[in-house]
Amino acid sequence: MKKWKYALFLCGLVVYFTFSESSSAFAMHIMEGFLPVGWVIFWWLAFLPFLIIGMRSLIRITREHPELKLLIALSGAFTFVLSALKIPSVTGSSSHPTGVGLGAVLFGPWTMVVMGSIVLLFQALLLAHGGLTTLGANAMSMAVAGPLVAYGIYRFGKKWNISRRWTIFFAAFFSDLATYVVTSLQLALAFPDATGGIFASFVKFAGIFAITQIPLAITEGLLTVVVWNFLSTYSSRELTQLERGV
Amino acid sequence: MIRQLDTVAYDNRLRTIRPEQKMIFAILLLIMAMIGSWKMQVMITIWLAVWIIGYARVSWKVYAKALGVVALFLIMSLPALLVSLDKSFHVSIDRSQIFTVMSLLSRSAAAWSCLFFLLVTTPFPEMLHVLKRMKVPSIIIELLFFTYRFVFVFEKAAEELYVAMKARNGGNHWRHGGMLVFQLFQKIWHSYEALRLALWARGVSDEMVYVHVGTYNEKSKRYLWEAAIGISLLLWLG
Repeated sequence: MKKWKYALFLCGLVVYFTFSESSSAFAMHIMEGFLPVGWVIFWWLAFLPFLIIGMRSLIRITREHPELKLLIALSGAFTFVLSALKIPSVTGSSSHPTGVGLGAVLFGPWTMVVMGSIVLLFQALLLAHGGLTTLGANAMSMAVAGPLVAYGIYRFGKKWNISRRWTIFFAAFFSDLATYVVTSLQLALAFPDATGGIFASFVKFAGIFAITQIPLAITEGLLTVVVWNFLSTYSSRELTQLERGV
Repeated sequence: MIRQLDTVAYDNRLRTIRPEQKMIFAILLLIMAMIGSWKMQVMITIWLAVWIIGYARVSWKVYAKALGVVALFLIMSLPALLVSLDKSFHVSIDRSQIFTVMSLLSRSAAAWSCLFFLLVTTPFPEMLHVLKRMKVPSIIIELLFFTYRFVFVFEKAAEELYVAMKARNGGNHWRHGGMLVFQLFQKIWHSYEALRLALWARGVSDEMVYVHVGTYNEKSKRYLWEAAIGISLLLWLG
């Protein structure tokens, strides 16, 4: 390797560590315009069936109980505000929880598919975080993969009578992890490595995002357990109401 | 940040232009940015910066700060795009990758500019009005509208809770974060109960959203002309 290559590589690392360490960890959304047109269309098409199923379940629910519209909008606002909230993280820096795991457990996965997409739309249109062209890809990772994984683990834990705390922890932890793995996969598919192909590219993206996303997932897991404990102690009436409602 | 950008959307010089026109303009440019050449993308970025800072009179600090936040994602993915890795874990930088990264930078900047232009010139309820005219199902409009209303209420509540926690020397442990989230949930639940009762008392069973229509300046066609001429020039030059 030539000297200038080393220098460039070092500069890259320096820039990367300065920015990733000092800033707080956000849930990763692929930014506007990042994906090529082909992948934009692909992820939008892949996302549409989930959105349609979610919408149908939402329309059915709200037709029976119109007041639930409010609750669902509230859950969206809750998720959005959570993602803007600074929470002390396990690594000492701060992180922003995604709230997707908690939402999926509280409100059900299909509601969260729609609400997750709406939250992403809000993040794009109110904060320019994420984007319209990449909404399909981001929704596949945050609004589809995340809630489905969280809800699957929650149901599994409930069925096999595993300790509620561990179930909630893993539901939130793996929903964050699923979001981050899917995002890395989407980036790897769009930008395969020149020598190593898609797999090498996936390793690179996953490795880079792991620095912020794994502490984020652990924090989110712990946080969700604490919130759940509070909820089951002080708000058990609301919880049963939610379970009957949605 | 969110309240700042929302305030700008209500209070800028391009507010009096019809939201339909701004949305069509932004989306047309977005499509051109996605499929156009890098020359076109650079021109779109510069031209939109003129629109945002020059015509809409958005403070350049707001513009730079927002750009900085999204550029973080770009900077974080640069090492992964530039440095390649083969099976025996040899690290190298491919010359062709530099070209990919450059085209990615120009495309992202242009596409982000389109989104940001829409965001700072058009208040969200006006975008909803356009969606309604496009016959988007009313359930989506209603959900978006309510979420928009609640976001600001809860953001304020969350901020107050956060300040209260900090004032008591809290917020150094992730457990405090849990408390914060729970208190926020409780606040949200109270507003939900109150609103539900209020709606129930009024016998609401149907659509509950009224989307406001603003007053627009129809006389001046200056921006319309610039948009039309600019887009044709872009198509011709790009």
